[in-house]
Amino acid sequence: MVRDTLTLDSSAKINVRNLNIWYDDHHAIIDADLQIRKNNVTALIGPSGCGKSTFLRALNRMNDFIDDCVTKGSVDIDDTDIYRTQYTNVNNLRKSVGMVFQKPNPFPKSIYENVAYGPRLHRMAEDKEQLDIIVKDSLKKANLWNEVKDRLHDNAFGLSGGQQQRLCIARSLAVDPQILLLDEPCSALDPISTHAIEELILELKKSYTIVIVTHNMHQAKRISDTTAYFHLGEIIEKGSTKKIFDNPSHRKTKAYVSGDFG
Amino acid sequence: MQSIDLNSKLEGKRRRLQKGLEYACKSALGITALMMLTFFLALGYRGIGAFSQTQIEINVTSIESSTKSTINQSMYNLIKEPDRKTKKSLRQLVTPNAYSKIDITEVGTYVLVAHTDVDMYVKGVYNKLDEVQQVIVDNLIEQDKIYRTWNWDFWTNSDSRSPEIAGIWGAVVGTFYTIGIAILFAFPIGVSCAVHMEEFPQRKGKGWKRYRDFMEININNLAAVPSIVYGLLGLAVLINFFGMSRSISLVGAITLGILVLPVIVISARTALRTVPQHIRDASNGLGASRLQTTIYQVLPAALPGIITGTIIAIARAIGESAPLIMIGMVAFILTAPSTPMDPATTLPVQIFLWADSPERGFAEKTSAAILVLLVALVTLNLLAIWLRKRFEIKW
Repeated sequence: MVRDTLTLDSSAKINVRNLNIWYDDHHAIIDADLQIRKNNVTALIGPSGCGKSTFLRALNRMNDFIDDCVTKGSVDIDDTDIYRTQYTNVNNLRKSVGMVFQKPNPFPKSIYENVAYGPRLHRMAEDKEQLDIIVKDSLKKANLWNEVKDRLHDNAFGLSGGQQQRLCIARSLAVDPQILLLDEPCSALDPISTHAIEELILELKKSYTIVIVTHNMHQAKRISDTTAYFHLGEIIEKGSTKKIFDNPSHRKTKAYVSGDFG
Repeated sequence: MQSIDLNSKLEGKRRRLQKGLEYACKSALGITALMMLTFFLALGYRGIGAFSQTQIEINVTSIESSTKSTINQSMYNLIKEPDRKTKKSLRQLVTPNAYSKIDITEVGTYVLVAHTDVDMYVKGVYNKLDEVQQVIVDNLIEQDKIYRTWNWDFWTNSDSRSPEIAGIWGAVVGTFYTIGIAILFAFPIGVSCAVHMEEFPQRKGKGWKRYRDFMEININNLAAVPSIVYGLLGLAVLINFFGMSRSISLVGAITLGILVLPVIVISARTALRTVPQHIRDASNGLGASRLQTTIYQVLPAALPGIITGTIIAIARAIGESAPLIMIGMVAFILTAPSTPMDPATTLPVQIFLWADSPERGFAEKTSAAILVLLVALVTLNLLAIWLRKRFEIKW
């Protein structure tokens, strides 16, 4: 039993092997290999335009929506290759691999409708009461319930930026994902909102596997367990966050984490 | 250190250029406003008379064999022992169609619509009355037996040979049928076409792009094709090939539907493009399929823009007359159509018909019908602006 838990915890939830992505002629990701562990926070860092976001979007096939984007290689989630065939049920994949974007992007609807949209899509609730419970639970998990419980039916655009971002996280949690992909979730937020989101990420780590792209190295240091450093489409260095920041083995990683460029 | 010179004026040439351009723009605006004003004032001046109607009160003292002769007899009573010529003059003071609208079975006072010549004389447009008529009309005006009232006939009657009782109701009903069916037909097709082009791009590289460019050029071209060509299309395909009847609203509706289709496609595509990509990302990221994203998120967000574009398309269709003339909707319609399968006409065509009539009484009807059409168009455009302001989402 103990051993079982241990294997689960230490096993790779996502196993990326030999991933190559092209935008038209531009080779955006070159031979990327990365193991992402369950219930870990994995941070992807690197200078702008190095392919972090592209890599992240490859994990739930959001790149499918971009014209001229070609993906080769394999991404195994729980030992199933999501790129195996073009007939993969990408809708179920994206349900299980939630995504939160750089700019808070709530739907132009009420707070309640924002969270209830996903469960309705996947018919997760049989009646209104069940849906109410899902909405409430999701908002609670995103530490937003106390702030919005009295105005669930107000337009989501009335919330502050930080609240909107937590609403987007709640919306992702509502469809019961296993993995959360966060694409610079704090870059449009002030320090206090950022702090709230970071707390939330550490909280969510217990039940979800989290991959976060960040430009803020202090943030990566604070919240992540594993870090991968991207440079011009290649993963130059990967390992425990402590090692990457304290004792990077590659020259470029060292220059980046010490703030020489980037 | 040199201080900044804040007091001197702009140098001559630069100032003259600036002022000149400023005045040119101002006068252009002034000219536009002046032309609009002239247009409206001229129409209003000429058309305002059509909203009032001259009526004549008659005393019926004896009932004859038919209402027509009863009316004639009571007119003859206005003068002692009229001869044949005077009788004719007297008869022609009331509208020739008076007996068809009223059934006189009892002695008493009745109000009838006056003849167009009397109407025009009272309104001071022209004087075609002979001496006998003029004396009697002046007399009756003094006795308050000839007077002007609000012209309900203009709103509730259809076309007529007699200008004094001709109205726009038939044309209005025809317009509703034609435009209503045209939009019912063009809106779903246009929006689906726009959704297909904007929301479901195939990723198969160059071929798709070429196909999409080709479609785009085609649709933009269709929007610029002269409207009479659509009339020819309707004539050749719907009437000649499919054998539908001429002059009916349904044929007009399909023709106008094809006419406004490209306008709706273009405005719907523009509206879809204004929906930010991140909304699609958010929906897709939750596991929605493309169709679900489109139906639940993108279309509702784009709907205000689509509706606005559609209203502008309706406004264009309402003003069209050329294609309808081609398919025979220039018919002389005496009663309002009761179904879209009945012969009908529309407001602009009615205007064309009236403008073409030799009777001078139709001149003010023409202007009045134009005013009605303009008010309808202004209302539609205001509605479009209001809808956009009211439901537009600020991202």
